[in-house]
Amino acid sequence: MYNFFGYFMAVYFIVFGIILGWFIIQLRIESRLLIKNKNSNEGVNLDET
Amino acid sequence: MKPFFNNKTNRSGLVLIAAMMLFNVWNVIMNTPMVPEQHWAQKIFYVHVPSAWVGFLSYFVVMVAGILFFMKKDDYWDLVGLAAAEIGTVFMSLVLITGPIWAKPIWGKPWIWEPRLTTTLILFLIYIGYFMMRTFGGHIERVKRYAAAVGIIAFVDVPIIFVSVKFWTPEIQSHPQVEMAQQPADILIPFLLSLSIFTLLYVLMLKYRIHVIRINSRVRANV
Repeated sequence: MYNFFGYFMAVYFIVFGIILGWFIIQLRIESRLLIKNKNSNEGVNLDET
Repeated sequence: MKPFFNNKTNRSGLVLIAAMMLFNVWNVIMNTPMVPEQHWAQKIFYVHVPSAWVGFLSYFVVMVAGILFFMKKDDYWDLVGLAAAEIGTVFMSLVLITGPIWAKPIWGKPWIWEPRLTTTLILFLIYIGYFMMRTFGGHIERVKRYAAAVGIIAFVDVPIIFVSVKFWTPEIQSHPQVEMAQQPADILIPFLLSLSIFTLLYVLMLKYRIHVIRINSRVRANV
């Protein structure tokens, strides 16, 4: 006999975990890129920072 | 450029969709019937099928963006195609992860080489090739044209996945040949609600990813 509830929980954790993870990754990429963009607009050499 | 969620509309959209998704999960747990042979496992249906829908919708957007890229020669459509391809592949990955988890207690094994599973895996692999081509394809302008062409051709597999259950002989099918409209209302309505909320989530994710890719392009242009 399978633990149907366990399979249900596993799927919901995976789906919403991956979606949440996707948003967190995008937030981190966005903030890193905005800092880079700001630095390059101000003429800061990123290799030296 | 400013952070995506500095915009009030985007922030409100995120809060609203998060609230709707929480309601959706509560609704699935509390208000949908227990199907006798599957019990809790049947409730996987309310996220598995909407994930597949969002994946296919996203690949449709890739195809449209590819056509518009060829017609208008505008890099914006290449960017839309890339964003949609990425999100589509995230959701196709979810389908290919959650499907076997659902299949294990119902079919007794996580994977069967039957038409719908096989054609879905083929679509996923086409997009793995798409990203490899994007990364290693050489000159940037040539890569954009190839990506648009692959996005258009890859979509041919989506209607094949849809009709696969009826197209190939029933003896080799594992997916039930049931029309969604024949489902009882207490399954159909929560399902359609879940489908709508996943679609709204997709629209937000696509807008956000386009925004991030645009910042990336700008940074690359400045460096």
